[in-house]
This record gives sequence, structure tokens and C-alpha cells, in this order.
Amino acid sequence: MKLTAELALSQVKINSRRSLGAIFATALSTALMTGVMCFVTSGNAMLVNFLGEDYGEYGGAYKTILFIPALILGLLIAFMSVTVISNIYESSAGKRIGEFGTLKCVGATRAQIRETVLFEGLWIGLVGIPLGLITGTLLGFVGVSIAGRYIDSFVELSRSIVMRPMEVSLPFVVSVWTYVFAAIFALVVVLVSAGKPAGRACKIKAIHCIRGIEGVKPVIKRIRGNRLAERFLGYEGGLGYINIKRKASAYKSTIRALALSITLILLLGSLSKQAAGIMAWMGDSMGNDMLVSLTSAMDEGVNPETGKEEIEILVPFSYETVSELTDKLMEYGIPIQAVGENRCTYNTVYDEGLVTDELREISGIVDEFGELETTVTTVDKDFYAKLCERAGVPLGSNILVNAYSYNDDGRMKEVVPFIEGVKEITLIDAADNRVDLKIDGMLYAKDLPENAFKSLAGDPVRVIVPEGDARYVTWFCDPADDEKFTVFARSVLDEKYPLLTEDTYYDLGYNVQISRANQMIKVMNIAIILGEIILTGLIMLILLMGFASVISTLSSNIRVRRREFAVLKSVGMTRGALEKMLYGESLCCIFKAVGKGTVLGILIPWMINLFIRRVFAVRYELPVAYLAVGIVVVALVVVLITRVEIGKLGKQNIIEDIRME
Amino acid sequence: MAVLEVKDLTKEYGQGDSKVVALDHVSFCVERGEFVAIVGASGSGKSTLMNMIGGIDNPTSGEVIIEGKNIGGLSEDELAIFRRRNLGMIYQFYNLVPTLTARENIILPWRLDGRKENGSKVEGLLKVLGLTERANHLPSQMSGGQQQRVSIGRALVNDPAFILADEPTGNLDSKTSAEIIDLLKYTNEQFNQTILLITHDDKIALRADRIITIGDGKIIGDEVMKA
Repeated sequence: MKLTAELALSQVKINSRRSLGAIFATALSTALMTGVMCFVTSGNAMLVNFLGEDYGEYGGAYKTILFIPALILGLLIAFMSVTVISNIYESSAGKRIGEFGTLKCVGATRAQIRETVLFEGLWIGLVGIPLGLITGTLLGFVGVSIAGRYIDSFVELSRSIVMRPMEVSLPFVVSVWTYVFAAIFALVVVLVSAGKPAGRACKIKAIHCIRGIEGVKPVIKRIRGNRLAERFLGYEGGLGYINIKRKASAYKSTIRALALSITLILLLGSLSKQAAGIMAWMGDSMGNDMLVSLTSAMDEGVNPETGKEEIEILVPFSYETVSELTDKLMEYGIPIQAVGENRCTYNTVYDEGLVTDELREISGIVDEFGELETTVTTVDKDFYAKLCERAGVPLGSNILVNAYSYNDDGRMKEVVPFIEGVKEITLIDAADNRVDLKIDGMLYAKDLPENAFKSLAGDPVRVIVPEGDARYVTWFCDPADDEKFTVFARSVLDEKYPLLTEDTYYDLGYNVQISRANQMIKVMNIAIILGEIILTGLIMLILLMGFASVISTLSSNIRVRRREFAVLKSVGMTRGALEKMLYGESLCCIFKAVGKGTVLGILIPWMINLFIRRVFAVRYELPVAYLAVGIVVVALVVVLITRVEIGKLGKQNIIEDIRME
Repeated sequence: MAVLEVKDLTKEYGQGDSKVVALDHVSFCVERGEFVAIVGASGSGKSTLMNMIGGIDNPTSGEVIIEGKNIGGLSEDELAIFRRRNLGMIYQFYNLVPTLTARENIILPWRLDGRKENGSKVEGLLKVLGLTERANHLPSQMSGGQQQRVSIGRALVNDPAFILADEPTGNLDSKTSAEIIDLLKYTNEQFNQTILLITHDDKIALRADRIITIGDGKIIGDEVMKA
């Protein structure tokens, strides 16, 4: 065996506690990556079974959905692993400075010094990586099984909504490549982690090693004491503060790991809050009526003459068809309201004189052609009669819904888009054909309290006309027996729009869904819940890794200072005073970590929220409870480790420790 | 030809008002087989001189020539290789690798050089050093005197041009100190090994053939004790 490998192996054996910490961190890092790889291979198998090789026509999108999160998670794990594991090697290399000096004096080259640190990493990896692969497989199995259950319930719900058999399942799949990739990843992490201290160790001059001055160089500048530390912990607390300031580099890795822990706890809290916010917002915007919906497929293109987006509704639903279906559904014996929408054919020509300041202030509300998005709505005759009554207009009138609610950078905002007394608006299609539409009356938000009415308030321009074609029709109702109504509605819709199991949505040109609104939300939320569970699991494991690093660096920081403590005792410092000094140092570490970690823990989810709030009306909120938990956990870990190490100092022999070099 | 030539060696630390001259134009030669003691008070520049000769610190000016080779022009790695093949170094605090046994510490320069172990030579050395029984012990399992003997064994294993010993008895009691000096003397007489011994102890220095006295970074005495 090479001498450098032999030296590294003896280091691993002698420093068994530190080695165990490094093995644990390496195994955890490998396990996390193996777990992620299990998800990738299992997800890939699910998509291949469901969509065929290359994932069919949406291959690119599915690959992105699967591999981008895996890449992000991989990078996060890699960053955390390198931070944590390099701390351990850093500490190991720090302790071996004397040995490096001896080796240099007896003729070791820089390459040999670098090798011995790298070999230490490789020995650790030899045990840690296989252990991580096994643990990761178990982790992946548990994770994929949990995710599989959610996929199963998603399939179950989808079946009940879409009324079409769906054969999707998430099998647990691992391949040789799962292990090859995870092992290579872990090896790179170990080499990068050990590489930094190895590079530094090989640059240390022999003379410095021999003199032992290449360890932590105290800061020479004048440092003011800390009144707070002195007030609570006396002179010794202040001394602890100065120690931390002067030996900042010795505590850097501990503070970094603690700060990272706070950041992760805050990140978890913020993302959970935002996920809950998204789910609540979805629920709030949809109510909980039973929805029977009929959707036509569409063909999107660009009008060659005008350059505008042109959408063709492949199976338009005429007013007569909708009325006929409504009449048949009414036979069930409960109130049903039908709302047919067409937001594909027309836009409204923007006329500044007709709109309110509120609408004008909304950025991007007017498109590049000077038009406002418009929905032309037809409703069933009873519902139409009610709307006419509320608007105070006779039957046959066109009604403008003068209420627009939108996501204003994370907050729902309701505005009145048009001024009072608008009598006419101009609709325009993709070919620039204009239609002047007479407005006979208006409805406001207060006139639309029920779910079916509420659904009418979502566009800048929405006009209710007596008759018209629709692309999307929804029947709102609230039956006592959901299952019975579903069977009935299914039979009604099947007469005109049967769902043939072998045909896809696009082959048929339409789709039918029957479900409660909250079921639909549940289906949409499954991805969020699943993501939250996986994220929580991963963050917990990364936190474990962080705490392993804190335990290792903090305890070794105290242990290497035995001589200093012995000197302090020899000049009359009592055990109680020494404890105060060490607790003072711990408090400084906690304050520094909480400061740094909180800033990052707020900044990162806040930045994530900048993207989320563009789509959902959810804004960033500080997760105060998580912050409190984070501070308590970090403080407990630091104080406990300090306490344990102080306990060990009790057996200290002052003379022996002073002589120690 | 001299084994060691030190020419006009100067080492300065700091700049301006805080400048300290640790070695001030020091020159001397050491012939093969000489046992030279370098003595001086604490802070006189003895250890600085040893570090320059051993190539683990760079002089501000001047030259160190070992067996005709000026080590000033060598890179850090070239110096390391030169050291393991041509020099033996002994320190006050032994500087043994704590995770290696006595035998492994002794053969360290060979292993670093990728050479095979010469078993009979190691056994011979262990016998001379009185460490046969302790060959497989770690430094932490040995007394200070035994550790220093391991350090001497490591210095001797490569048949170096000379041995540099920096206060080798500074951490030992008088009886053990005498044993260590006896051992060095034995190697000098038995194997014609050149030795440079740095000490502040006059009694120990008197065991050498020649005493160079350093004060304030300059040679203030160079006395041959025995013709």
C-alpha cells in the first residue's frame, strides 16, 4: 500500500469519532442522491409505461418535469454535502498540520501531502459510499412507495372526474445506472470536499508546520468587548466574545453549518406556507359546487394577414345544444345553472374613454394590438333571466359584467373596469373584423355572490349575450347524492358526447369532466402535497448532515484548545468561569448563525415567491413559528455539545495539557 | 570537499523599524565526519540557522551548499526530495508521525522515496538504538528518550550527508539526554556520520569536536575541541 494511503488509513482509524462523522455525512449525501436517482428511474419507468418510449408527443416537457427538479435537488445536495463534508476534512487537515510538517521535513513533496488528505477522503468513501447506496435504496423505496400512493389516489380521482380509464402507476425501479451515477456523484463530492483542505495543506510551509503557526491565526486588530455578553455572563462571557472575534476562521464552518440549518428550516416553513396559500387560493376561487364540464379542443395558429393569434374551436357547442343538455340535466330535479364561454374568438378594442383609471393602471392589460381579452358568455335561459333581472334589463339584452378580479403581484384585487353608462363596445377578431356590441346593462361584483355567478368575474371584458357558441360549458349544481348525479349526468352527456376509451381528447375533439370542485383542486394539489413531502424529507436529511458537521466541528474546536484552557486554569480561572467563557462563545455562534441564516432564509423563499406570485395570489410571509423552532433547535444543539465537552474537560490534568504540543 | 558550506547567510524578519536580523552574514564550513555543536543563548539565531541549512526556510541572502549543491535554487518539492535523500533532521519535540510505529517512522524517508525496505538495515538500526523491543509501538506508547531515538533512527536511515539536530535533548531528563548524546557520538565515531548539533547546554556542546558560538545572529566563536 502507498505510504500516503497508509498514513490516511491510520488517521481514519485513530480519529474514529471524526471518521464516523465523515462516514455518516458521506453516506447521507450518497443516500440522498441515490434516493433522488431512485425517483428519476422510477418516474422514468412510469412515464415510459404511460406514454411509451421517448414519452410520446410531449416528451420534451415530461423530461423537463422529471430531470430539472432532479438536477436542482442534485445541486442542492451537492452544495450542502461539499459544505458539510469539507468542514470535516478541514478540521482533520487542521489537526494534522504538525504531521504534515514532519513529513515535509523528512522529504515529503507537495503532491504526497495532498495525496494523504485525498486518501483520507477515499478511505471514508470506501465505507460511506456503499453504506449510502444501500440506505439511499431504502430511502428511495420508502419515498417512491409514498409517492406511488399519491399517484394511485390521483389516478383514482382522475378516473372519477374524466370517466376514462387511466393506467398510471409509479413502480419502484432501480438500475445499474442509479448506483453508478450516485456513486460517481458521491466520489466527486468526497474528492471536492477533501480537495480544498488538501490543496491548502500542501501549500503550508514546513517551517510553519514545525512552529505550529499555520493553524488558526488570531486576528491582530483591536476588538471591543461585548457589553451584552459581559452583562449576562460577566468578564468571562466577554472573553468568549473576543475569542470568537479573534479566531473567527476556527468557528467559520460551525457558524456556516448552523446558519445553513436556520436557512433550511425557514425555507421549509416559507415553502409550506406558500403551498398552503396556493391550495387555499385555489379552493377559494372555485367554490365547491358539482361541476359538469364540456370542453372543446382547439387549434391555435397565427392569422397571416394580421399576425394575431387565431384560435379555431374544433367542436363548438351551440346555444341550442347547451339548452338541450341543460333541459335534460334539469330532469334530475335540482337547480342547475349552465355557463358557456368563448374566449377564443373576440377581443375588445381598447377605448380609453370607456375604462376606469383602475383598469388603466393594470400593467399589461392591453395587448400589443391595443385590445383587451374578452369572454363572450351564454347562460341557460333561467339563469339568463335572473341576470337580466339583476342588471335591470329586459330579456334579449347584452349585459357587461363590470367586475374584474385579478392577481396583482400576489394579492387578489377586484376592480370595476368600465365607467358608468357604457352603451357600446367594439369586438374584434383575429382577422380584424369588427363587431359593435350594444351594452344594455351592467352587473357588478355585488350582483354575483353565488359560485356560478362568481365564475363570471374573471376577465377584463365579459359580456353575457342571449345566444352564442361556446368552447367551454360548465353546469353548476349541488346534488345530495354525488354518485347518483354523476351516473345521471354521464348518461345525459354520453348521448351527444360519448367518451370512447381508446380515443384521446384530441381524437374526439372534446372532453367531459364530472366532479366536485374540491376534487379537482385535490387532483391539482396532489403535485404540491407530493412536492412538499419530498422536500420536507430531503431538507430533514440535509439538516441531519448539517448537525453532524456542527457536532464534529464544535466539539473538535473545544478539544483542540485543551492547552489554552489549562493555561487559563493555571492562572486562576475557575471551572465555573471557564464554563461561562465557553457558553459566551456558544451564544456568539448562535447569534451570528441566526443573523446570517435568517437573512438567507428570508431572502431565498422571498425570491422564489417572486415567481410564484406571478401565477398564484400568494405572497411571502415570514414563518415566525419555524424561525422560533429553528433558533431553539440550533441553540439546543450548540449548548448541548458545549455542555458535553465541558463535562469532558472536568477530567483535565492541567500540567499534562500545558505540556501538550 | 566540505560536506556543508554556509556562505554569507542572512535572514531578516519584518521591515523598517520592526526589522529583526536573525542571521547576519554567517559563513562556515563543515567537513565530513565532523561533530559540530552550534551554541548560543535563546534567540541568538541557532534554530533559524538550522532551518536554513535544512532547506525548510529561505534565507534573505547568502548560500547553503550541501555536497557541492547550492540548495537555494531548488523548488519546494526539489528541496523535499533533496532533504529525504541527503539530510537527517532531529528536533527537540521528536516530530514523529503519531499514527506510525517506531519502525514505520524510521523507514519514512524510504517510503516517501518509493524505495523498498532494507530489513536487515532497519533491524541493525533498531538494535543500535535499543528499540528492538519497541519496534511496533506507536510514539504515544514510548518514553521521550525512546521517541528521540526513533527520531535519530529516521535521520540515520538514509546515510545522510549530515545530521541536523536541533536541541535534541531539550525535552529530556539529564540521564536520557546523556544517552542520546552518546548515541549521536557513537554514530559519528562508528559510521563517520557528520553531525550538526544545536544546543544551549555547554556540557552537551563539550562532547562535540568543534563548537561554533552564535550571538545576535553572528558567529562569535569557532573553536576546535579536538584535532
